[in-house]
Amino acid sequence: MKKLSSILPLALVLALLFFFSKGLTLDPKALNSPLVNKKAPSFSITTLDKPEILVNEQIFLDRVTVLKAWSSGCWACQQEHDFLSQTAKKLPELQWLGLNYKDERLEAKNWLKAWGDPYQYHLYDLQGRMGLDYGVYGTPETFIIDKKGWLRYKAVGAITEEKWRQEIEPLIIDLMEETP
Amino acid sequence: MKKLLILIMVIHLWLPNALFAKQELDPKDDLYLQLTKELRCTVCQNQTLYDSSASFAIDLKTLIREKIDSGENETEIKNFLVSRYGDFILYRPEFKVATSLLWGGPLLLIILGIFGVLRTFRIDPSLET
Repeated sequence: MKKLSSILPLALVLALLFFFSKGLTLDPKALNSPLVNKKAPSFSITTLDKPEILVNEQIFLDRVTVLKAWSSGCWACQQEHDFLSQTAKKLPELQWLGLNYKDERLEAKNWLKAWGDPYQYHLYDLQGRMGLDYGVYGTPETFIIDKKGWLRYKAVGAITEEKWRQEIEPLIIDLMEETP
Repeated sequence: MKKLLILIMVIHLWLPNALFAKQELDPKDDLYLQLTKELRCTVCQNQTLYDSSASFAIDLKTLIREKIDSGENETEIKNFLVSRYGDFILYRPEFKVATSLLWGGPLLLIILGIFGVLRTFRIDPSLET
């Protein structure tokens, strides 16, 4: 008993240090999405180029999708754009979709003209309604959706090469092998 | 004279209350206020939706207003938001396994503290006469 009480303070300090050091590496702005490993919420929305056409969650079926929420006024979206464009060219077997979040149509198009457009097309969410359903609270956010239309991953903030290598690439390789 | 002065002062303390008496609220507005004051703006994390005028908070408030108007109750609206944004959006998250340390932690610390104090200041029985 004597022994236990003598190491107790040290143990408490170590436990505290563990929590503190853990806290240093956590980003309080990045919230875990409860949507991961659930079916992607349904939607019906037009695209940036074709205001007359509605698309829905069926587009996710039978292929692995990268869905990128972005807007023209978003600095971090620009930061990651080069890297994502290169990656999109390297991986044409993925479906690359943009979710333009609360932009003016013209501004969004101009942004793409200026910085390049690696996406197949962009869903156009003027009111941010689809964004709310997908738990978007700030751009950029990245979703990976599997061939069955389930959300499998979500990242908040710009995608860096490191993040892609460590978190996204291994997941995508797994998802490509799944049968729809 | 002094008593009169005190009386006047007391009356003045009470007056503003009468001026800002709470108006009768529509139950829908009541629910709206209650919800927006209990939900966190996930962009501006230490503000409630009620306090925030970030465009994200405004969107969420519009959504909540619409859901109330379409007859959804408090639990339905909260469940929807938690399913999209997680427990963090609630200022008072529900008690469940994932939040048990959050709710129980302070109590646990108090109990540990009491235990520690009792141990430290325990009177040595051999010294008692």
